[in-house]
Parts: sequence; C-alpha cells; structure tokens
Amino acid sequence: MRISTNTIYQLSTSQMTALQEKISQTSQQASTGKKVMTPQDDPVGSAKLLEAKQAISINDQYAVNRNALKYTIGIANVALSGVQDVMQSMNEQIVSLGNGILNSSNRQSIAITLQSQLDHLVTLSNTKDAAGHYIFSGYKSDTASINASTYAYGGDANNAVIQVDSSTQLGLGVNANTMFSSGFLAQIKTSITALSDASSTDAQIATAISDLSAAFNASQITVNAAQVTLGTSENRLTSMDSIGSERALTYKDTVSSLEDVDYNKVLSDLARQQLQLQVAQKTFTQISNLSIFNYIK
Amino acid sequence: MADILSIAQSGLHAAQAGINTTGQNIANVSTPGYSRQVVEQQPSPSVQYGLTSVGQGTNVTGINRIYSEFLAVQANTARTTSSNLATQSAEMQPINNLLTDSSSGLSTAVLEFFNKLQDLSSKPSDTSTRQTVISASQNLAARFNDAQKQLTNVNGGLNTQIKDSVTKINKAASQIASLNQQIAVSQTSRGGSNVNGLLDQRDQVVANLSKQIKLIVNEQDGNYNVMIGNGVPLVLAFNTYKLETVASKNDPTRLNVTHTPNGGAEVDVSDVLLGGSLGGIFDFRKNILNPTQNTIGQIILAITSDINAVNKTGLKANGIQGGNIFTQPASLATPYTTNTGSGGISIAITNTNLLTNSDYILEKTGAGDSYKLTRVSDGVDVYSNSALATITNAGFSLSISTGTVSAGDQFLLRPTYSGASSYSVTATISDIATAAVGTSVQPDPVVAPAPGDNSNVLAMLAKQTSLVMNSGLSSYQDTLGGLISTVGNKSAELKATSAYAEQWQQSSSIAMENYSGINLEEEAANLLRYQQAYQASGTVLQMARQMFDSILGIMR
Repeated sequence: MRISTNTIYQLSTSQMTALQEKISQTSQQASTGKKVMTPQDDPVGSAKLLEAKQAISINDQYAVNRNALKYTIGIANVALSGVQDVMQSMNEQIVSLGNGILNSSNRQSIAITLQSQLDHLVTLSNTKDAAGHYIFSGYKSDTASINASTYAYGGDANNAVIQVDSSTQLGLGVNANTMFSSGFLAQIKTSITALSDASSTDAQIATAISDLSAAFNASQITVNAAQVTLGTSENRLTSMDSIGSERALTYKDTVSSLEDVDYNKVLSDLARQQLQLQVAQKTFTQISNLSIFNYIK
Repeated sequence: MADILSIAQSGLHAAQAGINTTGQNIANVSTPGYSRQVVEQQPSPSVQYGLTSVGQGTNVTGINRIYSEFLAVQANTARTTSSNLATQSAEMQPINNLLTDSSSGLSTAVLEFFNKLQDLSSKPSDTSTRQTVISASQNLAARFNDAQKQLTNVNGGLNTQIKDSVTKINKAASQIASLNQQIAVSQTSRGGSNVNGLLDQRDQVVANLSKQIKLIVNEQDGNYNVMIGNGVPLVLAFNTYKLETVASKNDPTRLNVTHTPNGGAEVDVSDVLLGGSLGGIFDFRKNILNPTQNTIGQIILAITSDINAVNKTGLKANGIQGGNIFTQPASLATPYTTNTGSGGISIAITNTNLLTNSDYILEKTGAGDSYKLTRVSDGVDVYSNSALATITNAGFSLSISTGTVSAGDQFLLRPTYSGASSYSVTATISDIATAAVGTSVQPDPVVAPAPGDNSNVLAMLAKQTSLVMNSGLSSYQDTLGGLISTVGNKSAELKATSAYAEQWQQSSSIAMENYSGINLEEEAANLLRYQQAYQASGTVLQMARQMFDSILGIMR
C-alpha cells in the first residue's frame, strides 16, 4: 500500500497527543484521589452520587433534629424527676394529715410545707429551655405553663413536632396540663387554705384532706405517664440514631465507591501510559530518520 | 542524423519535466490540499525510415494531478459529520461542568434551604434560625440565577460562533466562485495550461467548507456548483448566494441564518442548515441548551411557587397571613416580529406540577377569541380554536397584557424560562409564616399565633420529598437528578460518537492523502530515475555529435 509522508507524521503526532491527554487525566486522578466526575464521565454514577449526597444531607439533618429534641427531653426529664421528688415529700405530708390526732397548729405547719411544695411544683412546671421558651406550654412557649396565682394552665394542647426520621414526626408530647391530673395544683391550694384556716370545721378539713388525697393519687398516675412518654421517646430517638449512623455509613460507602480512585489501578495505568508514550516517541524519531535522501550524496 | 539529435533532445526535455515535477512535489510536501503531480509521456509518432518506421523520441503530453473525486467526497462527508459532533460535544462541556454539583451547587443549595427549614421547625421563633433560612433562600435563588446566567452566556457564545461560521461559509463561497472563473479562464485562454494548483486550491476550499456545513458539489462544465445543508444553493458557477445572520423572529437573543436565493425573497434557513459545525450549533441550541434552561427554570419555579404558596397560608408572628418569600421573574412570552397586531401576552403560572420543560407556540387562529397552543417538544396542539381564558391545563394561564392581537399573530411562550430576569428574596425574618398551617383567610380579629407553632414550617418541609413536579412523577431533586443523567448521557454519547467520527474522518483523509499525497521516498527514487534519464539522453546527444563529427571527418 502506498503511504504518503504526511500520513506517517500525522499518525505519529495524533497518537502521541492522545497518549499525552490520557496521562494528564490519569495523573490528575492520582494527585486528587478523586475520579473526575462530571455527568459526562459517568451519567448513571453522577445521578447516583447526587442521590447519595442528598440522602447523607437529609440523614444528617434528621440527626440534628433528634439532638434538638433530645435536648428538650433532657430538660423535661430533669424537671419531671424534680416533680417526682416533690410528690414523694408531699405524699408524706398527706399521710400525716390522715393521722387523726393533729391539732390546728400541726395542720397549719403542714399547710406551710405544702405551700412551699406547691411553689416548687409551679417552678418546675415553668421550666424554660436555654432560649427562654417554656417547654411545657405546647405551642405557647412564651406563656408560663402554670399561672403562679391561679394555678391555671397557660399553654395550649398542641404538641410541636419535628421530623426526626424519614417517616417519623415527634415532639415532647408532654405539657403541664397533661402532666398533672386536672385541677391538682388548684386543689392543693384549696386544701392549704382550708387547713391553715383555724375556723375550718372538722368536716371541711376532712373534705380538704380527702380531695387533696384523691387529686394527688390521680396526678401520680399522670406524672408517671409523662415520664414514661419521655422515656419512650428517648429510646425511639436512640434507636433512630443507630439506624441513622448505619445509613450514613452505607451512603458514604456509595459516595466513596463512585468518587474515590482505585490507586492500584491508577498508578499501574499511569506507568503503562508513560511507557506507551516513550515507545511512540522513540519509534517516531527512528522512523523519521529513515530516508533515501540520507544516501543521495 | 538530425533525427537522433531531436530524439535525444525530446528525452532531455522529458527528463527535465520529470525533475521539475518531482521538485515541485518535494517542495509541496506539506502544503495542505496539494495533490502530487506526474508527468504523462507518450512516444512520438514514428516516421518512415527505409523499409520500416522509427520513433521520433518522446512527448510530454501533460502534467496531471493524482486526485480521486470519490475519496474526496468520502473525506468531506466524514469531515462534516466529525465536525458536527465535535462542535456539539465541545458545547456540552459548560453544561456538563455546570451540572457537576461541586461547581454549581444547585443540589446543595436546595438541600441547604430545606435543612435550614428543618432547623426552624425546632426553633420556630428563634431570630438567628430565621435569619439562616432567609440566607439559605437567598443562596438558593442566587445559585439558580447563576446557572441561568451561565447558560445565557453559552447562548451568547453560540451567536458568536454562528456569525463566525457564516462568515467562513460566505468567504468560501466567494473563493469557489472566483476559482471557478480563474480555472475557466486559464483553461480556455491559455490553451489548457496547467491548472492543477487552482484545482487543488478549489478542492481545499471545499474541504474546509465541509467542516462548517454539509455540502454537495456538482461539477458542471468544469465549474463547481455547491449546495449546503438540505439543498440551499451557495455557489452556481461564478455566482454566490450568501448567508446572513439575523435575530430570530421569536427570540431576539438568538441569531438565525437567512438566505436569499436567485431572484427570491430572503428566507430563514436555520432549520435546514444541517451538518457541520454550524448545523451542530443549531442542533445543540434546540435539543440541549433550550431544554436545560427550561428544566433548571422549572425546578426553581416549582420550589419558589410551592414555598410562597405555603407561606401565604400560614400566619406570621404578628398574626397576619404570610406573603411571598421569593420574588419570581415573569415568564417569557415573545411576540413574533412578523406579527401584524400590537398585542403582548402575559403568562401566569397556575400549577407548577402541570408544567413541562417545553416551550409553547400560541397562535391566534381567527378573528374572534380563538387560539391554538402548540407544545414545541413534540409538536402536539394542546388546544386548537380555544378561547384564551380556557387554556389552563398546561400549568399556566394567559392574558393579553397590552395592545391587540390580530389573527395569525404568534407568540413563543417559555413558561419556565425568564431570560435575563432573576429570582430574588426581599422577605425578611419576620415575613416567614411559621404558624397556623392552612390559614386560607386572614383571621379577624388578628391574633398573634403561639410562638412555638411550627405547623406551617412542617408544611413547607413536606414539599421537599413530595412528588410535586411533572404531574406528580418527581420531586425537585428527582427532576434535577433526571436533568443530570439526561445531560450526562447525551454528553457521553456525543463524546463517544465524535471520537468514532473523528477516526472515520482521519482514516478517510488518510486514504485520500495516501492516494494523492507525496511520498518522499518515491520522489527521491523519481529524482534518481529522471536524473539518469537526463544523463542517458545527454549521452545519446553526445554520441550523435561524435557520429556527426566522424561523418564530417570522412567528408574532409
């Protein structure tokens, strides 16, 4: 076959250019550790990468949301164990009130203790978070959960939920109104008033004690229930955390398999491509030296 | 005796012609488009010599170029295809890079915006969290605006290339016509002088032209007649019919190409100028750039519309219903420059879920309130002969914004594309309606919602993972992912096919080069051959002289 002189030069240069381009790409991969990932390089991989990065971001955000809720639950737990302590001491007072031999001054001093316990319960109910929001007021986080003079619930019935998992919305689930049985705090105050009034009749005192006792027993149930609610939520969040970190690992593996280079492959590619270029260069110089003109003297 | 002298002289002539031609070949070894030339020799007719006849030496009958029209047509076809695909593949690169998320951050901006809303759902009344939401929404708008700006720049670059390509085509047309003329003149007036160089030049101009546009060359009476694209005459003998660039009649930001045929009216030939780099630019603009612009617009339009809609049905901290968080630019509706009426159309987006990434053409079909709406992507008439107000199911509604529309007037509607105008966020932290989801009517009296009420934030968040686009088929990120894989696939396909086309082009050019090009070894051998022939003829001459001398000696 007839070959033109230009063809020899053209073929050699285009071959060397192609090899140089490959070497440049490979050495870039070797130095960055990342495959050059434009949609063109890997259309399916790019879309997958986008999906995985989105999943990581959302997954991370759910963890942030869970931490925010765990923080509030932590504060609520502290408040509720305080409530339990106060309820414990209050129980002792109620038991001693049931003891028939108390006189008026005994009852008055119990009434004083009860008042300070009531105040303590109000304080605990009005627990705020670091940002100054009442945590047991439902949506009405700017309003005291329990009014210190009327003992009425100041919040609303709403539970502010947030997204803690792809399929779960969770909130604190406890407010000052559900924590205590209906009218418990007001009942304590009513009973204190009767107990500290020297003119109260025996019958009035007996009613004050039995109403207090009934409200107390009911509230013990609701306080326990509130603690259970918080405990359950905390457990759910913890198990979501471990699922979340497992998911994060899977997603990160996906990203890494799409993005990171295989160094063994890259380095051996690089060595091979360099050798190919050297061979091409040497061949070219040798071939271009072959000419009859060298012998025409 | 005189015969031997003239025979020797003809041999010397022929050998000299051979040496000259070889020298010419060697000199042009790297001249693009040069075809090697060879000396055609014939023995001179013999004359009666006694009882028999003897030849009268040799005649140089011509110096011909070695050129194959068949190989040239193949090489030109391959060049047109290769250049078409290479142009499109190169144009893909900015879009390809734009959609590599690390550079544009489109996907990250969407994620970040919703993540900040998540933070807000935990702390709906926190001012610094509200501020991060506003910042994230500004960033979201900015990233998509940037992307649109880059694509607009790509369009500007295409306009420059169209101009450049048209200039090259016109220049080639002039050159071909002029060479037609020179060749005709040389061949007739100087009695068939050597026009090989001119022929090579003309073929080289055609070869270069074949990079710009698909072409067919018909040779007629020695002239090249050139048709480009799908049958647009460019050169007929000594006449040229040149191309011109003009703004598109329905989009002033785009250049189109017109052509004025012999004695005819100027027509827009952009749709028939196929092949080559010019055809590649038109293909790319129509099939890739346009849908990409529209899809990116479709995504940001859907997000901002949905968030605005939710914000409007919630309550702000002061108890007033929310307004828009994002300020959206108007969709483009451009009247054709050929319209006879003065009317303008405005587009109001009504349902982003029903939008597609296609453009539409609206045409007034009669004197009354009668319109046709054609979807450009598949050519389907979505509405025919319908009242303007009844056109609703494509996700937008239309109204006449100014002037009057005449029968036959047309408009290019780009619902998801806003051209140079951009999205912005003028809302401040107090404009975010975090509370009281689903408040469709302003409550009277106005009562400030509870500060812990995050219900409307949850409603905004629900949009992130809902299938709120493409008639309930995809989420925002799905649509973005779809765009990325569409562009990626198209881009990879173009890269692969243009690499094959490049090889085809190379091998067909090499085939031509191997046939017509110079081989220096061959020329060196020819040089030696003609040198020897020259020396031999010289010896014959010398011998003839000696013979002549001996005859003279005898005579003395």
